[in-house]
Amino acid sequence: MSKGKQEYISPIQSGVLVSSAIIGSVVVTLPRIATQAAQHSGVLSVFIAGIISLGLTVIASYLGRRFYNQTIIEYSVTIVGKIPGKLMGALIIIYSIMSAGTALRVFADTLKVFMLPKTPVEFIMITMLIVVIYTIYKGIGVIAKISESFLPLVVIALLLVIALNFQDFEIRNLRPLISKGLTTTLIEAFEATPKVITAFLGFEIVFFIIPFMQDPDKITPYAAGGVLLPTIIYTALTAMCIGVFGIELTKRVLYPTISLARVIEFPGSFAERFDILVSVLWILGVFTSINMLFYMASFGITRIVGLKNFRPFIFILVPFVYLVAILPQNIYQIFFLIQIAGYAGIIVTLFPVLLLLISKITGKGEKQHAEKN
Amino acid sequence: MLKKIRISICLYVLLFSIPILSGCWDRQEIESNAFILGVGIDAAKNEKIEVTFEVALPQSFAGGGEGGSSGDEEPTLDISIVAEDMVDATNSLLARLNHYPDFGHLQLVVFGEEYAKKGFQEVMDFFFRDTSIRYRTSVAVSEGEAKKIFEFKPKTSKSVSRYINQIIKNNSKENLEIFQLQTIGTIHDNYIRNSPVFLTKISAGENTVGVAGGGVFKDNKLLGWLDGQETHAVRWLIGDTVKGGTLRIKMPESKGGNIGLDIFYSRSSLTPVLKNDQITADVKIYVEGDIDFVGSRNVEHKVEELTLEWEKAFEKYIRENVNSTFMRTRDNYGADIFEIDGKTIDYYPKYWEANKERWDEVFKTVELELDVDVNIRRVGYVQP
Repeated sequence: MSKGKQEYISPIQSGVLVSSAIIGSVVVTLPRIATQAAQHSGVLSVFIAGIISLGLTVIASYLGRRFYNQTIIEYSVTIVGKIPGKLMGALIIIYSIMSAGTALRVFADTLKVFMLPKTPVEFIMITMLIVVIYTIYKGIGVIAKISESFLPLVVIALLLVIALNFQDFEIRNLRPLISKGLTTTLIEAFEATPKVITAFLGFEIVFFIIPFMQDPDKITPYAAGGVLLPTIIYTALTAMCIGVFGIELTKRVLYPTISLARVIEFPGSFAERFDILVSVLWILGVFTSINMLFYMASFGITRIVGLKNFRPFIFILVPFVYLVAILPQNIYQIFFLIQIAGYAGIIVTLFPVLLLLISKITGKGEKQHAEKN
Repeated sequence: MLKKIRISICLYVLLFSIPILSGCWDRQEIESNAFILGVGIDAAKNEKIEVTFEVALPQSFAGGGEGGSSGDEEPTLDISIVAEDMVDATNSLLARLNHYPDFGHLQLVVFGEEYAKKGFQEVMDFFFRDTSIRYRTSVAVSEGEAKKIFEFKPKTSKSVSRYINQIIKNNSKENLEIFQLQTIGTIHDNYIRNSPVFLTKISAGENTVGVAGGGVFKDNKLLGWLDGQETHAVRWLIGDTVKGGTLRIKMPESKGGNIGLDIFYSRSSLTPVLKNDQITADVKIYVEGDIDFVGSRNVEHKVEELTLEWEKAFEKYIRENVNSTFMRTRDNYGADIFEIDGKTIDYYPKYWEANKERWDEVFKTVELELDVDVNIRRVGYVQP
């Protein structure tokens, strides 16, 4: 298929990839997660989590530029030595598989609840997997192009959900942010940040895309923009949910974003079921994010065993992803799995900080960086 | 080698597309759906409930659009079922109807008076939990049996549920006596906080159905009614402002007799103010309107003075009405239907944490601070 021909992604595509990887199945549950963890301060907490993710993305891209033709799997070995480096790589792969599986399951479950009550979840998941396999088989170039064409649709759908609810938005529902006192609010927000930051996982794709860029030095602002977009959307979405439903209801509703889409009513009720449109566009967002996670897993495992062609590994990984997705027996086990995958993700995203520190101290990677310039 | 892989992938894709393309798993023909438009819930013997479903018959809704029942075919079908609860009732509906019940287009949920007095918490959970029911569905309470309401067949609409829903949603903008705020979504919020609610009252006459006034609910039980005029006050207090509607007052004959004010803009706000452990509800009402009726012919005063006096009189009228309604709900029912509890949470979270257990007592001491401002802008087509 690829006879030595390298696929390249443009800087703007790298930003799009980061955004599409972040905006995934968690969108529908995020306002609940945030408010359960931090009450009203959930809004602030989402914003803080977004900014922290942005910082981590900048660090990851800075680190990646020092080793511009390697992925994290290889440069972690260069920086910390063979065995710890491989272990890091293995954890990243395990996390990606888990995360892809969870995203798949959450997606299938949500779809079953709202649109396909009689379709077995297995069927929904398998069809999604087939499409994902087909896409990533074509390589990162195709993934980038698909994300580029789907992201605007997903963003428009989410913005519509936010904008069309403005008439029901009651600012007083958000008042406790001020009336509780600034310190309490900030403490609450920071305490909940570890839980909320799991919603922003997906920006680890930065670890893997730098070798595909013709001009890796340009990635930082674009990747940062790629995190900023979901940060703004998520913050607005959480604020909107609290404003429309009030805090107690947001905490109770399982899928607050879809509920938000359902209360939209156009004048003359010519479209009573706006939630269907939103769900359909949301599927595209889930699709691109599973694409990315799956690609990370298969590409990472290829590099760990030292091979070039990642395509056979896609098929090897399918059963594992499917196993993770099929494992939870009920909705609470799904939420538990999301938490586990989220914590694994936090550890993974902290790797670049560690690696950067060590590489700064030992001076590894600087030579390579200088060579390029 | 590569070619072989490519061919095998093509084969896989073809193989998998057989189950995918062969049809939709959740296929549901629209003709075999029974769209439930309205649900009425009454109390029955032995702690059971009697649920009345208004079912739309799709064939008569297809084409024709709005407009009363045409021809011999009835557009809707009412089915009453005595059951243990809502799930039981929908289940029994399957045994009574050859279509599949679909709640996706539910317009109205009505509680019968007797059932409402017993408390509606048993059935509400069904409406919160069912994933096809929308949060915008109106909820109301009927005077007498809810079943009676569905017996009425309106001439201007194909379904009585939609008819009432349109009255509640649209006409409430022009008529202050119709309370429109409560939907399944807003009740869910109050239900979680165990906060009292105020529901629109529907009353069925011989050949009419009317919407005016409402019922006061506390702990999900109906305590009593407020009439149309008191509903004005509730709407002012809740901040559900209108861009239409009329007010009427009686003046002495020499000052104009009966005066009607046509509201074209109004806003109101209720803010709880905490001072020395005492909560005062600070209410600001601002009304702009035109005079649309002057009863008396012998007006002896100057127009400029009169409009000022009328403004004062309207202000007094609103103030008295709001005050007496507030006092009545506070003292007779002890039910905080004005969302003062919710606003206290938002404005004084610490005070609320300390006092939420004894909120009922606190509410009985809440005082009202009224600030009413009425402005008459125009006088219509003629001088008074």
